[in-house]
Amino acid sequence: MLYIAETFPHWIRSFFKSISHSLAHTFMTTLIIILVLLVVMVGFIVAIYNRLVALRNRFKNAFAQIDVQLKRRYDLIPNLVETAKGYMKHERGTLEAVIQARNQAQQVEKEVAREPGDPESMKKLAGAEQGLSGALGRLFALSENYPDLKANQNMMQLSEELSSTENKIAFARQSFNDAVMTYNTAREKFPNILFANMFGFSPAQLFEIETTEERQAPDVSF
Amino acid sequence: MDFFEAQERARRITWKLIALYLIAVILIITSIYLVTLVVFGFAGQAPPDASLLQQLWQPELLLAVSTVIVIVILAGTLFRIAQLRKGGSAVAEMLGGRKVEPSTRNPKERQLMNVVEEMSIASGIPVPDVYILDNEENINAFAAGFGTNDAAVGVTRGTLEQLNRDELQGVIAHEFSHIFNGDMRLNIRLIGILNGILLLHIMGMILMRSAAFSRIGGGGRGGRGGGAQAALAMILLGLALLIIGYIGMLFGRMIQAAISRQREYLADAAAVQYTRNPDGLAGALRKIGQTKEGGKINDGHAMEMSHLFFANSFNSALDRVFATHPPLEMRIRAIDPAFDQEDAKKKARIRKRMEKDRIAGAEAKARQTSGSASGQPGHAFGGLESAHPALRPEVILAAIGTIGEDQVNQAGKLLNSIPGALREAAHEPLGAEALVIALLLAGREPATNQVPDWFRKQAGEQMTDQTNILLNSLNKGEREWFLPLAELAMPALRQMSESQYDHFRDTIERMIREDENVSLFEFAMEKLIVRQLETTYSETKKPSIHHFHFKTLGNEVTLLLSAMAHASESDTEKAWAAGLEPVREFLPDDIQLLPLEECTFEKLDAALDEISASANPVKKYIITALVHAITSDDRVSVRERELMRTISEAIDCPIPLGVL
Repeated sequence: MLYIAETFPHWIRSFFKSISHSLAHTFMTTLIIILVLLVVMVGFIVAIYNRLVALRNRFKNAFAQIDVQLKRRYDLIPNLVETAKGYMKHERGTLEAVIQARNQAQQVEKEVAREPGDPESMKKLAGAEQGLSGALGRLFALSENYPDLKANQNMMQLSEELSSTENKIAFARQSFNDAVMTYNTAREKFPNILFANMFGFSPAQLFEIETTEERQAPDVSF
Repeated sequence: MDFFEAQERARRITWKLIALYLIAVILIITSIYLVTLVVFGFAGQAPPDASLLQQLWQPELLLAVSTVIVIVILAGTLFRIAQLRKGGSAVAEMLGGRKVEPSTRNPKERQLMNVVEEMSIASGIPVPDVYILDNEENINAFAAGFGTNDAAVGVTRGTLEQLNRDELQGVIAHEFSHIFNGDMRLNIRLIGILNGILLLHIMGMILMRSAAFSRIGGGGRGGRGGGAQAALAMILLGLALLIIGYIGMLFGRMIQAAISRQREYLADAAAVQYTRNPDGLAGALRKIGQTKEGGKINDGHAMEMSHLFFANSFNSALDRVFATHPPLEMRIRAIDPAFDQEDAKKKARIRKRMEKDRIAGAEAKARQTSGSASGQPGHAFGGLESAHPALRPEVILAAIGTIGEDQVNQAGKLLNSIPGALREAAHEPLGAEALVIALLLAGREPATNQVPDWFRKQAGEQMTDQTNILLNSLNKGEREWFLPLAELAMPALRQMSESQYDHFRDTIERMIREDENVSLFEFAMEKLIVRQLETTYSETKKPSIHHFHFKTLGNEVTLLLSAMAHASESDTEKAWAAGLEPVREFLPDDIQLLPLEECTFEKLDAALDEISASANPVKKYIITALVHAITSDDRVSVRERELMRTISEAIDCPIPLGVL
């Protein structure tokens, strides 16, 4: 090493000497302080970042739970309508409204599944789900007038399964909302909020079904 | 090599890892010291006419350099390990994994879940969380976590799409063997170490950039003179740090490769042993070899976590030094000698020998079963009965922490014999809750068939109805289903939110304490659920090992042995004596069998906590003693089996299905 240094042109050596004599001591001290501060800061920011990523993943995974049940419900509804059709010949409008609401909700669900928590699409999904629940509620209310339909084995099974799916959705929704809440709180805390926007962590939207009337699973008991 | 030895060996490798780490740190410090020495012209302190040695030896500079390096590396390491404390899911999520819904209806995902479930039930560990890396198209997989309780298994999308069931099973078996070989804990430490060294590299880059930046700024302002000097110093410093970073990276990757490669051979061998089907694993490896990019993972963390994966996750020009996995050809050759066509004969020979082994094994088993099965009560499940190996302690001990082909098949059969409604409930959070409640009720002594009224009030009609239905089919079903069902339910239960979990825990606690007498099964369930879920929902501290010898565990061992002796249905004294035999020399002479009243679950619980903090050789002796106590009368009672299961689960020694 020494020899390499010896072969340096004179001006470089004198440059080294001049900075080293005057600066070496203070320079090293400053360097240490800067580096330590840098480590602490980088570590701190990385910690915030990773925590937010973990929380975001958690609520996304929680949405997958809802998603499975929503899909299950969308699969059940056409069968239900098909069964009901045979009995409720004069209620075509209601039956079509159910199918339409179901198709719409399914479409929104696909959109949400790509980016769960996105405020706009979450609200759309809540709206669509509300519409579907409403349409189903009307169908079941009307079915009271058709004792044969109520006695149909297939119909009983389907409505039983539908109500159990509703239950699972409600449970999964609570889990999702808890996860979103934890994420949002962590995001808004100081100093996390300073970095959250920088790294693109936008606030997530709860999956709420708004009116108290809709909060209850539709009454599907026969 | 048995389970305990494998675990112990992984621990020893940890020491090797720490040694390499220290060497790397020392080498890094030395190189940086030398670089700074050159850059700053041998600093000013030494007189110009000093000797070479005097110029090279500058304690102040060395101290400064070491302080900075040690702080940076240690901070990076400890920080990352703390981050991964949360276990396998944290790693999987860091890699961009999506958790597979246990109730998934996607056929490929279903198949993956089934393979994992079979493997878990076969080996006696709770079903881990399963993740899919949706963004990765190449074939690769990983297992992560600290122990069997917080493990996660992940596969890439490519794996799911391109492998058939046998190949997938081979890959999953490979990952399970990492779990049993204690590789996961090692891997997490390795990630931490690499992160520490990586941080150095990152800092070098940051400083280099800011140096370049300030050069532009400085040049504009200061003109010649001081500004130019400072700029040059900054560039040289940046260059130095870049070199530092590079050296650090080099060391880090060499450590990673050194540790990882041999573990991979071990895991391959174990995977073949588990499935007895070298073609599956070899097929998977071959498919990786056929794709252009091999097992490449595109995620940014792939480099520091490359030792976690099933195959090399990145390609490097210097494969021999830096590859974390042995070359694919070598791996295939090691498990499947017929890789070259000329070796076809050899392959046939090995096949034949394996077949012969299997027949001989089956015959031996049949002989032993016919000898000992006559008096076995409570063993109604046919498949288990016929495959029950000899009740010899050596056989049982050797089986811990392994899986055999038979067990995987058995697990498949067992799972298929469970009614679909029960399995479906286990796959979905709300249903899993109802299932656990139903299991607790069905496991009561005497069994009930009625859900208590307070539960109906608290949980609502529909939940109660579902619990009732599940309870009914459990009461009609087999006892053998109970614990596997609880283990199946774990991934679904882990999906609850924290508030849902708190609520659930209160409910099961009340359910267990409600009837005055806590049954063994209830104790087992509580222990299982609490251990499993507590790691997810609260930051429980993993106990560090502080028992290296029996001396400090005398009371605990006495208690466990006494409890096991009382669980025997025939001769308590005989079981006690048999259990004491293998560990007598380690225990005080005046040791006495405790009366049944003193073997309370509270005490047992505390004892298990202590024992789980003991070294592997100690655990091995304890398990040996317990197994001797169980087999003293040549039969295994339901109580013995459940107690043993609880104990082995609590101290992380998975006992495969059907061995006890």
